[in-house]
Amino acid sequence: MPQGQIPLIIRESPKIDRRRHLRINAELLLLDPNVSNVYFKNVVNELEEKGKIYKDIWKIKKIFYPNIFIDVLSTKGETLLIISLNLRNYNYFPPQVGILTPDEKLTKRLNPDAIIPDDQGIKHLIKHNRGVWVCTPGTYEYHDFYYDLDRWELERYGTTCNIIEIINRIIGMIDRSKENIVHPDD
Amino acid sequence: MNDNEKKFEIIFVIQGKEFPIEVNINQNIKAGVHKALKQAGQPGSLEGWELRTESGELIDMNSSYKDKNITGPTKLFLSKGAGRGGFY
Repeated sequence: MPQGQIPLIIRESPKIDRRRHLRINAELLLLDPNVSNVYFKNVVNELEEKGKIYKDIWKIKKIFYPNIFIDVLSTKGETLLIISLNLRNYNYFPPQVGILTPDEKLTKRLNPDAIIPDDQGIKHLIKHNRGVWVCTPGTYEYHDFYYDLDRWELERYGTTCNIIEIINRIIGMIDRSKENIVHPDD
Repeated sequence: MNDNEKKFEIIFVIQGKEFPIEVNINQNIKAGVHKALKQAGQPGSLEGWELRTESGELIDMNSSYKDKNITGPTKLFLSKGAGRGGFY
């Protein structure tokens, strides 16, 4: 096997962990702050320019490199939760996505009643040890998990992975008419 | 003008931009969606696209505006569905 190439199947590891291929420990890695800073500013400009039209659905709460916090609003206009976008290695890697409570604490699970499945009954907001995993194209967590099947590099400039699309897609998975989105035991 | 001929404007929002389209109340919603996506430079199949109201209600694009009780100028939001991934 050529140097640097990682086998797709990791032997003697649980089935689910085989999908997490240990390609690179990128969880905390910062590749090049100058590059990601340029892309970060582009994303901020796009959000500030185009985000106003969604003012009754979501709004920018806070911007501090490399993070952007998005307030998700209920149908009554209150903040239900926050989408945290970390663009540390954007756009070499997709944005890492986290779900926070309105007071900016990490939430590990959402109220199941508030999660809207897709048209095939599949849910894309999943409880995970390190917070809610948003399992959809355009997120770091998805493309890292499906690295060998669904490559970020092939669609990062496409419609599906546009930052506004990602935000709207995640919000489309949440029933904004519900008042208690965060699971009470969290 | 009788009710069947009533026309009004729907503003389709695609990736933060507005695309106003004049529609007929009895028209199939997806016809307007096709026009809006074409104007947005994304013509073709509607597969994977979702249409929602501002409150987040998913709209069946095969129904008419009248069926969905949309009887006047309204803003509707188009975005891609969740797509691949996820768990049952």
